[in-house]
Amino acid sequence: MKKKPMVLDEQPKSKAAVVWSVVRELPIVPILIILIVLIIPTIFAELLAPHNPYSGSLRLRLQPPSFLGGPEGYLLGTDHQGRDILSRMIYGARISSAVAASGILIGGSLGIVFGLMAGYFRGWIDAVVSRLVDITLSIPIILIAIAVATAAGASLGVLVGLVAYYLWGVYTRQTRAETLKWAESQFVKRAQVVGCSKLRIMFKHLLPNMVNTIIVLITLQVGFVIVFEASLSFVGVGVPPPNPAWGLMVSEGRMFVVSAWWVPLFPGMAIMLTVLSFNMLGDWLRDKLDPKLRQV
Amino acid sequence: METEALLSVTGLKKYFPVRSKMLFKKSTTVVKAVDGLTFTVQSGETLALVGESGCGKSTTANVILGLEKPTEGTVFLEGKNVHELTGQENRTYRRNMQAVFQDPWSSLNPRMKVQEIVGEPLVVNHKEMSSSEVLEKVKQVLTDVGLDPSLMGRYPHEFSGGQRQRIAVAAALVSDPKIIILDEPVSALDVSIRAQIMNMFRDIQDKYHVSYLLIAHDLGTTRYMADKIAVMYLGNIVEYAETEELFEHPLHPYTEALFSAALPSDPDIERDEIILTGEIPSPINPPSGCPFHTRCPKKVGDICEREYPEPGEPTAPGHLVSCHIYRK
Repeated sequence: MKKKPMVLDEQPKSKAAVVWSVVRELPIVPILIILIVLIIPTIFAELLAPHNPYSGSLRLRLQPPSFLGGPEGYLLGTDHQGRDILSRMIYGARISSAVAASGILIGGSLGIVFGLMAGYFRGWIDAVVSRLVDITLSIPIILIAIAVATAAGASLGVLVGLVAYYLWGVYTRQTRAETLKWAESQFVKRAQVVGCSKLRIMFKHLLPNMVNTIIVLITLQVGFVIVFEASLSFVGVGVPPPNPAWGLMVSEGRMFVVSAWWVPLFPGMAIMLTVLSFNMLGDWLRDKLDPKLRQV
Repeated sequence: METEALLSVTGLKKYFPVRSKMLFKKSTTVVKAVDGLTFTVQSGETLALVGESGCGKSTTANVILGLEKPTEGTVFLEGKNVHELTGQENRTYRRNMQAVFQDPWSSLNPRMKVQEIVGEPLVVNHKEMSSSEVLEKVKQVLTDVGLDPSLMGRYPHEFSGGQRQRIAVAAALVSDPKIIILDEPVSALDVSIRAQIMNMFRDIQDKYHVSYLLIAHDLGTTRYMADKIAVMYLGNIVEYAETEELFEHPLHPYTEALFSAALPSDPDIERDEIILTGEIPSPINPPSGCPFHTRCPKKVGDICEREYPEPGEPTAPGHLVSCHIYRK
């Protein structure tokens, strides 16, 4: 029996091969979908949209998509006010990503700061913050949303505030747990001996070690926020019309689901694809960055 | 004549409350982790605290480092009570007292570069230094601990255990401290590199004239590194002497048992092994009188259970032992 000789030294890889080995690993499909459905429209909405998303012609209301015999130039058809659905979806991507980005930014920053404080100082701060999180997460968010939107009126600012309010608790819990874990480590003890301030320990020693967890959390929540925005718009307390937002478009289109199914279908598909892609990306990142984080 | 000690610990006690929460009554008991320690460390010398795990060595280190407040007693560094410092005095104390911990895998922040880790004490406590001065100093200490300064832009995970411990030492040295607390500095390392690291500690001591307070359970390490040894049992020092004196003439039955438990270099050497029976008693409810009486093979009598043996110098000056055998 002949054995193959063991090859210990492989050929040194070329730069292209290294790049390829990274690219091959990336979850290409979800990234592409996110790019096409969300990011490129967000940036280039003015260039891409064939029509004005805010005004249409009532003569052209509820026209089917052009590939199903509708009028030329209205690829995905028109809605009940004769507005081009594709253009509204393109501008809607901008609103959805703006709401998701600012909501996560505000809620995430708050949650991280509170989580660090609760986990590092312990004591009464921890007790107060943890109970607040419990309270936040135990009140049905839709109820709060309807109450707030009724009192203050639906606007983008209120929507972002609601998203931030709902998210901070999740970030606080996660950051607190991580802080508790890392605060026991010897490098934190060393930093205390050296004389680092508490602020420095929290932001220079503890926070950088949680970046992985936080990135994964953010990725998984982008999808959640888009659905959340859609559900709020659906019950009428989200993005105020006539702004184009995906959830709002679905909600407005539900009246015509029998006669003009394309009105709610396409924005619904955009929501589904984006959320699915972000979840896949988040899962992949989680496995790559932090295999310990299984339940978020 | 002894000059004023660099570090002097007097009557140090550290009790941790144990709360047993029941619905209606709160009974509070305490763990007596450290129960009255007194010792001094002179400038440039190495004192070792030796004892089995759970005897309060690490708690002692934490209290001296200011991480925890003592229940009773004082710690003076250069004549200043370390638990009552504020502002600039506190910064000076932080510069003068540094620590190297046991586990080089968790004592370096994985997200910081070596130069940031080593330079941090300067950045925090020497705010007047410019970043290029800090970098110069970092390079110098890295060279002194036997590392190539060109590696300082790397992250800790790119180094081996021994190298990491050298980085930790460099970080402790960078602010020119007077004393470094070494908390089991080599016990997490492979036996093959322990000797190298211990040699490095000695070279550094010669060069920087720094004192060490060595916390260890390993007698080989202590014999090699320490000038004086304090043997601890259940939060008390039971024997204290110069290293050679202690190894030649151990007096306390516990010290004898410790030495006998260590393996000799020659397996054929005939020796009378003293095997202690029973567990180390719980520090929640330590034995009355001499803390060692429950396991002592040489118990004198009732007095051991009744009375705490005050330390004395029965054989040689400077060799203290707390045992009733020598108090007749």
